[in-house]
Amino acid sequence: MADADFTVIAVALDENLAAVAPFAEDITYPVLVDTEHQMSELYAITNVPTVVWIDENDRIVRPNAMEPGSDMFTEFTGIRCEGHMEQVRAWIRSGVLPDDAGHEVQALEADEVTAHLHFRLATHARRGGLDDAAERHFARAAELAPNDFTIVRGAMPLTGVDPFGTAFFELYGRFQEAGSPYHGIPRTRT
Amino acid sequence: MTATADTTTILAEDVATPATIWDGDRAIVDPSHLGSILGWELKPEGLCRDDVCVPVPDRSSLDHPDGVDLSAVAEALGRPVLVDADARLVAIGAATAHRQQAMVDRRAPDATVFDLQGNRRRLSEWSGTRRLLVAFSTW
Repeated sequence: MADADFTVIAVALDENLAAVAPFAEDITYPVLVDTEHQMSELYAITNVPTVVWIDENDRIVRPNAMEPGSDMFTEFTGIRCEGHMEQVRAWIRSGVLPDDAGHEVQALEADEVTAHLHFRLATHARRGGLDDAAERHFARAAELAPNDFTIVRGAMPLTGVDPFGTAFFELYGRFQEAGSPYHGIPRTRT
Repeated sequence: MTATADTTTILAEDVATPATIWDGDRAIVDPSHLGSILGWELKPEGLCRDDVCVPVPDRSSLDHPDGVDLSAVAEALGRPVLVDADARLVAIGAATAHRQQAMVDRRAPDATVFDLQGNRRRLSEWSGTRRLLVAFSTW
């Protein structure tokens, strides 16, 4: 979808730039990293992949939605990628927005914001070799935002937990039991 | 009463390491550093950024014999604060009203991010172009 007036901006909710680099190989659009959790805090992004459509006047024309780039996890998530691609093409070509574009997204709650601050402290404590402080803040962040994947799952690789192991399935089960809370356009299984 | 020359790291718009004096759980900084830490400066009319000033009804609530109380300043700006005095770390979030208003107005907020070379970038660099902001992860 090459267009002089259109770009994708991919932002990894990660801490380790070197770990993200392989994902950026052969990609022509900007790949950035939200190491300070500023973007996720301001845009209320609680899971990935979340896509936000922004127009040339810096207006959010379609807010947060889980939109995978492939169908690798369709069986798991019930979300297919082709529908989204078609919608993006229609927007670029003729400015048409999908029906769900007007969905109102709630900003993060106070506890969720505090969780981000704990996460930020934890990553810096970890970098500074303050492992006990890091562990304490990662744990507190997860308590305050138990269903935020950017917090709970994002902490797994930083705390030696397998992000594809038991801890992930516990998180996913809890998330589903809580009614799959997400700051964005609700998606249903197709 | 006050002590320590240990480096304090303040996580706000950017990562700052200003000279900080700790008084218990209170991080005290020189008022002249507020601009570089928070983007707001303390002036007689209040806390100011560019031409905008937020009045501070009780100026004494910010003051400390060694400078200003960073948490009190952040709170006066409606910004959440988290302090870990033992680790010498302070994290200051975005103003609550700013975050909530962005969702209502649908103005895409600016944010500091980093490129893969570790350079500081701003999302506003792509202002003026239709774009998909895609949050992804390696985990």
